Amino acid sequence: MNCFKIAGPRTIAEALAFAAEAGDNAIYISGGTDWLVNGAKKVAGGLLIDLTQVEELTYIEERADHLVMGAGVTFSRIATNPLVWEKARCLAQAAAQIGSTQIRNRATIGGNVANAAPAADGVPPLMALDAEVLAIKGEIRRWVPMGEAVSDLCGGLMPGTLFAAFRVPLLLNSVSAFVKLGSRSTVSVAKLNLAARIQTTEDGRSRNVRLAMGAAAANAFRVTAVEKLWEGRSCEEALAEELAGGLVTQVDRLLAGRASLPYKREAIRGLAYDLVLDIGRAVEDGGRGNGRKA
Amino acid sequence: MLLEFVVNGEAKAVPIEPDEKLLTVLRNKLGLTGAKEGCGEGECGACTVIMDGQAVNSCLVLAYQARGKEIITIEGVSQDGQLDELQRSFVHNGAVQCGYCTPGMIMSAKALLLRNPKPTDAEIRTAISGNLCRCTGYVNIIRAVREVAENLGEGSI
Amino acid sequence: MDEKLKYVGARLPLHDAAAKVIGRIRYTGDLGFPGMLHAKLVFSPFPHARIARLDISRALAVPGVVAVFSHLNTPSIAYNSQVWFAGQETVEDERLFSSTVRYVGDRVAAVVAQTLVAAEVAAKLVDVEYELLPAVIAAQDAASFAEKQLQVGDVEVGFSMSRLIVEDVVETPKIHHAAMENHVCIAVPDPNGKITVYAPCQIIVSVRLIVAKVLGLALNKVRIVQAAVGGSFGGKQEVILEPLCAYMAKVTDRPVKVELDRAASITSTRTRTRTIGKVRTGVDEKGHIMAREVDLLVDTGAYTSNGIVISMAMGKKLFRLYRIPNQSYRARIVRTNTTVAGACRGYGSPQIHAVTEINLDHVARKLDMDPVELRLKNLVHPHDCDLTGGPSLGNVGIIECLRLGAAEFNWTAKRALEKGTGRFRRGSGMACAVHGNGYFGSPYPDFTSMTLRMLEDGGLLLTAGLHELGCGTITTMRQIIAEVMEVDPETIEAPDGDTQTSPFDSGCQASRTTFVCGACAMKAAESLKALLRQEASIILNCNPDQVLIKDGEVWSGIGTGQHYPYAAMACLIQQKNERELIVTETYKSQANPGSYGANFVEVEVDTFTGMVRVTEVVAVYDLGKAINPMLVEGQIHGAVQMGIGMAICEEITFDPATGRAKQEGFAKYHLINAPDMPPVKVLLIEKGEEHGPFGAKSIGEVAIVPTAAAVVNAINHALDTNLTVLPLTPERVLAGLHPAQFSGVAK
Repeated sequence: MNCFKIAGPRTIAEALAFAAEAGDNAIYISGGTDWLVNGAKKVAGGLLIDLTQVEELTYIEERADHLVMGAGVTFSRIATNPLVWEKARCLAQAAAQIGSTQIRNRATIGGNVANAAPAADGVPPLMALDAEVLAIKGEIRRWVPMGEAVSDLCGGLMPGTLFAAFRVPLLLNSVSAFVKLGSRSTVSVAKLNLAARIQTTEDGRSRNVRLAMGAAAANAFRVTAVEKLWEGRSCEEALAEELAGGLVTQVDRLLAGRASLPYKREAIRGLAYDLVLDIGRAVEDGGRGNGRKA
Repeated sequence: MLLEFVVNGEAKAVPIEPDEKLLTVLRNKLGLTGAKEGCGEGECGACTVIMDGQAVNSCLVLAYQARGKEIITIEGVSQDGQLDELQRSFVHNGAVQCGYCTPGMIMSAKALLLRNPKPTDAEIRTAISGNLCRCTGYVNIIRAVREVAENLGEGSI
Repeated sequence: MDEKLKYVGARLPLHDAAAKVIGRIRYTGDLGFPGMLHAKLVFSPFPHARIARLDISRALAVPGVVAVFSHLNTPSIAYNSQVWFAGQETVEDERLFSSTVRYVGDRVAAVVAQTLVAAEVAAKLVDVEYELLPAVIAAQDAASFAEKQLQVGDVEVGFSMSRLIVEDVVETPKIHHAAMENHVCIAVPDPNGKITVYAPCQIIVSVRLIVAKVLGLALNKVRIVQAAVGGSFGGKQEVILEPLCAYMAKVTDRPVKVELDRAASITSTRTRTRTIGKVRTGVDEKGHIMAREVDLLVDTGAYTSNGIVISMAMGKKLFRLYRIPNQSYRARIVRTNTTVAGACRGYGSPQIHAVTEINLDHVARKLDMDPVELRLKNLVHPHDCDLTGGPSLGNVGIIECLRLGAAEFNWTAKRALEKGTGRFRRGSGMACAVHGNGYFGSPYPDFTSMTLRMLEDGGLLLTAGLHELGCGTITTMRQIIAEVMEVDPETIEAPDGDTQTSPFDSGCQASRTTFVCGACAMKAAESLKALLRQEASIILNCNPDQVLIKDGEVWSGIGTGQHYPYAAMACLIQQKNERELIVTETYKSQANPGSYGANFVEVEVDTFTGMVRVTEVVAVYDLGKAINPMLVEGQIHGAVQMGIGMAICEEITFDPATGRAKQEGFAKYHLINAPDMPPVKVLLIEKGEEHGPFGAKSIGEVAIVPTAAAVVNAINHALDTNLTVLPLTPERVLAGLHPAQFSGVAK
């Protein structure tokens, strides 16, 4: 009583060929840790294209001005990769806090973004890092900024688009951090998450600030109003308090009328502090985002 | 379709359906009932097996995704009918009560020790963060893994 | 207790730990029988509805489906899943299937098929039309159908003598037992009209009674075999799947397996009973409790189950921990259209202690008195009377628990620490607890019979209604017998209960296993030893009192130097005396002392996010004697995990509009996991108890009783609050800190 067929391409080209042949009734699956739980999305009578054995999707490397990784890289690998910790710290931090060890060994960065859960922990870091995703559909290959990628997931880009890779621009003197509030300290879906990236000036102030918030709307988004508060400031408690105020305004707007509003508008303050103090510490460590390894 | 993979060191070829999970193939088609379904959604870890050296929830792996992989289940841990060091440590440290979480717990601990023979307590807890136990409160489990980590000689895993 | 014990008190591993670590133990879900069919249940999506139409034709048409059952083709014999002895008076309102469903998750139909997949497909094709009926979800909205009361003295007089009266309303939630093994059952018919049921249960005689009743079979035609249990904690104590499974096997004349998934285990079996407790305590200026009044609302869910029984059990505990001259208890029991409540570790004690220990801490704060000091002024002393006329409290050791625990925890220093006004606040709290040891003193029969044999090779075989839940029952019995018979516990076989061969046992409930069953095992071993002496004296040609038994050998004490290992003597007795070395003892419980304990807990609360971290637990218990300290500690560690969960994260709540549980899996129903489990220091007070085997009392349930209250007390200390609605989730913590922000939001 199988409700779908399954194919196991070995290359991106093969994957695209399977997709082209199957038309609209095909979906890509990676680690499957989201999709297999939400069984409602079964592809009845269609084709499941299993990407887990496509080697081309599993690299992590530095290329010129970018850190590039295949969409099939698991969160375990991201969470333990020295290059990611050094150049894209908030992504490594997020990876280390997704699910459990077993989940991290299967869940991939591409799957996390494509699944587009509002609380997806991989999205705010990518947004804060100004990342782009290599989206391939048929003959089209395009690097799509994260903001557009996630909003398109709610609309036009899917179905049929393969996320092949992510690239993060490497900036001088940049530091990033990710924080998450779950129902418990580990192995929990986020109630709220935040990621931020700054570049530091010589006197330790922040510039070129990116701040992304997840779990509060249909997708994560850049909180530009609060980024403005952060510009030019140094990372200390006073800033945290102000950012908290700015984020509360966002939460009030997004969760108006929701039962979770009273809690989240209070708790976001904790995240704001965690975020600012963590980035502050990283700045002191030499502005290189020396984080713990998972 | 035929799933070809290696389980506990033996090559296997098992007919499978596309939507079948690795867990049910192990239990129902290979008779390896050590791995359990406790929740079916990757939260309890009772189904944990080692796949290509990593702990995974076999309830969240499609059988087809295990093609060409090397799987180790709890049945593959003891050698020649002898408990290995980790298993012995679980036994004499009181890390086993009802035993239902035990196969998954041991596989998670094993996967950790294969990769990191001298884990810290925090690393042990992280390795089993996805393995729920309702009987032991984890106290003796962590003790059992720590004891093996402290005693580990060269190449004994 | 001065004897040098060899096996009792030893830290032996569980008897089947080795088999468990290699994954070879077969639980019911791992078993199969030739021709076995698989059943899938259909559950009600509505909290209260009449089934207007039920059409199974589409389901039956699925290839591989053998039968579909519903209220239309099953007996409508009413029973109560909690009943465990014949003639037990209760409300019988459960059936295999009802034509009226009473909660989301109530049983509507069952599909039986050759494969599980076919059954799952067909289950979705059972067509049901419901006529919705009004549903009551919140306990406060329900009318009570029964009441239980207990009183001592005159509370009004007591309150009039009180300098301070403190009142609280404490709420405890429905909790999922969360055994890692879901509910499961296999029934196998045989051609002689007998049914065998394999189930991970807690009272085989209860299963037999209800299966026989529903199927209309004689008791000796129903065989219940206790299977390996993957955890129960009371969740598998009521008889839930077995009657249906047995009936389906009987009708299809094939073995049938019913296995629930996690969602169904959470919503369609049993939960811990929810309570809302109003408590009023009056103390004099010195802190002596003059009066206490407890008014409890007890939500037993959609069917009566153990709602009335547990209400009495909870009330009794109020009179066995403190010296309170005037006390009254009233429990009003209600049914709601929610998941049925049933036995759950501690059987009401964790709930009633949450109500009263949180309130006592409130009293301490108002009195500006140290909570430990307040307890010490009021705790019961050894051999105090139960003022309700209940059994003697026995050799009470709660005061020792408190003193030892406070010292180990560094209570005074920790309490004196500056809490400050920072984001992270530390706090310390404690709570005391009492629980029971069986049913003596209640209307329920508490006895067991055991047969103990020595076989020709000197090995021993115990036949009894044992229920190993993974906590160490079998190992404990072996250690007790081993001590008396002076043999290695490994040479004793003590299999799980089987109604075909096991004599009557009142079951693994009410914390009676070590205290009553263990005492019977000890008595049986002593009888066997006496019989061995008796028979050996014939072989040795001396008087029985001249036979020496030492280190597994039988010696003639009259100087002939004859000695035989047990095996050799057993053979001689068999051959020459033509006797088997077999004894059967029936042991009736003689007493019901309290098992006592105290937990000391330190927490750190993040006042920005409301997240609570338990950083340290010291758990001290007065259990008479630890037959196996390693297994005792294991039980305490696990109980603390459960208690912390009850305090800060575990609850099953129901949507008031739909009646659906909001937590249908472990993604939403969070247990304390390894990273969140604090270090637990266990200390034991072992000063013996008269009727316990080697002085032992129960530990498995008392272990959880003080924990939730201690954690809540620690949180209230950290935050200077009086939060009383469990669990103290981050939301409730922040609501407690910022009440104005949270007003108008449903709790």
